[in-house]
Amino acid sequence: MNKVTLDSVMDKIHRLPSLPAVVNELILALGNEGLSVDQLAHGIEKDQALSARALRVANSPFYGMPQPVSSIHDAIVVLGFRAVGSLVTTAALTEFFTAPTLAWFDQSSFWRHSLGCGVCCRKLAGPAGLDPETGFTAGLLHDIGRLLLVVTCSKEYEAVVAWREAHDGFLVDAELAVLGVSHMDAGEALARHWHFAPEIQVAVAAHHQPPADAAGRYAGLTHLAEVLAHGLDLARDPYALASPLDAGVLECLDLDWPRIAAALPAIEKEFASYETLIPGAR
Amino acid sequence: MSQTSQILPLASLQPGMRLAEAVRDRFGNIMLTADTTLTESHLAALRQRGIASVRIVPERIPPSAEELAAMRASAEARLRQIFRKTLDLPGNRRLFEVLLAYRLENPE
Repeated sequence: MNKVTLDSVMDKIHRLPSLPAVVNELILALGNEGLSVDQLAHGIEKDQALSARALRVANSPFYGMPQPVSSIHDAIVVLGFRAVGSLVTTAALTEFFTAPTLAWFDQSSFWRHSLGCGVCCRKLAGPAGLDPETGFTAGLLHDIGRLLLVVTCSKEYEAVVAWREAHDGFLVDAELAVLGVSHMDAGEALARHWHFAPEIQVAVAAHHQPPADAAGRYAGLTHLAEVLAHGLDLARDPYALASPLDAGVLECLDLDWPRIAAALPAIEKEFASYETLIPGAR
Repeated sequence: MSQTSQILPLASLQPGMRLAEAVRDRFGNIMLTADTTLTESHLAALRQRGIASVRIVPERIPPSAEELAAMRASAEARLRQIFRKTLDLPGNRRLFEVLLAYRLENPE
C-alpha cells in the first residue's frame, strides 16, 4: 500500500535543487588524478559559509595545525588538496541534506554512521592499496539513498522505520518490505544523476553485496567499513545492527584481521574530529 | 573521552600534568602542543612568556577492579547487542572477536 517505485524516486531526484556546482566538481575530482587545484580552491572560497564549516574541522585539534588556518587556500597548503576536498564535500552534503526535523528520523545518528563509515574506509584504504580520499567519499556517501528516501518520501519512510522497530530487523529488509525500493536502488539513481565517479556509484549501489572484481574494490571497502562502523558504535544508534559481513572481501582487499585491529584507535580518534559537522550536534 | 578538562592558573601547575589543548603565545604560535606532559622546563618557559593559565587534562583516577569489570561487561553487552542478528556468520564472528578484544583492552 505504501509502495514507492524507482520511477517516482527518479522523478523526485530531478526535482531536487542541484548541489553547489563546486561540490559536484569536487566529487568528480576526488575520483580523478588530474585536478585543477587553483580553480577548485577558488570555487570553494566563493561559498563562504561552506568554507567556514570546512575550516572549523581543519582547525580541530585532530589535524594539529601549528597555527589556525583561515582560508581554504592555506588549508590546502597544509593538509593537501584531497583532504580539504573531502572536508568541503562533507560540509556541503551534511548541509544540503539537512532534513526537516522528523521525530522518527535520527539525523545525527545517520550522519554519524556515514562519517564513521567514511573514516573507516579512509583508514583501511591505504593498507588495501586504495586511495584514502576516494574511500572516504565512498563511505560518506554510501547511504545517500536512505537520506534521499527520507527527504522525498517521508510518509512512506516513516512506515519503514516503524517496521524495523517492530521486527528488530535490518533497515534494508524494512525498505523492501514496506517500499519495495531499497536505499541502494535510490542511491544508485542519485549517484548516476549527480555523475559521481564510477567507483563511488558502485559503492553506493552495492555496499551490501560488493562485486568481487576490481571495479568493486571501493564497494568492498565500504562493505567492510559499514559493518565496522556499526561494530564501533560510532552512530550511537539504539537500534544499531551489524549487517552481514562477507569475509571474502578481506581477501579481495588484501587485508587481514590484525591490520583491521591495528586501525581501530586511529579510526576512533579521527572520527572525533568530525563532531562539529554532524547536524543536530552543532 | 568523557572527562572534562579544566583551566588552571600557572601557579597551580605541576610537572607531570598533561595539556588538554595547545598553548599559544600572544601571536597565536603554538608553544606546546596538546597532549604534552609538562616538565619543569616547560613551566619555566610558560612563566617567561607570560602565559596566565592553561587547559589541563584532569588526572585520571584509575577505575577500581570492580569498576573495570563493570565497564568491560557493559562494553561486551553492547557489542553483543549490535551483533545480535549476525554472530553466526563467520565474517561477523571474526569482527566481533576483534572488536571485543579491543573493547576489553580499552573499556570506556
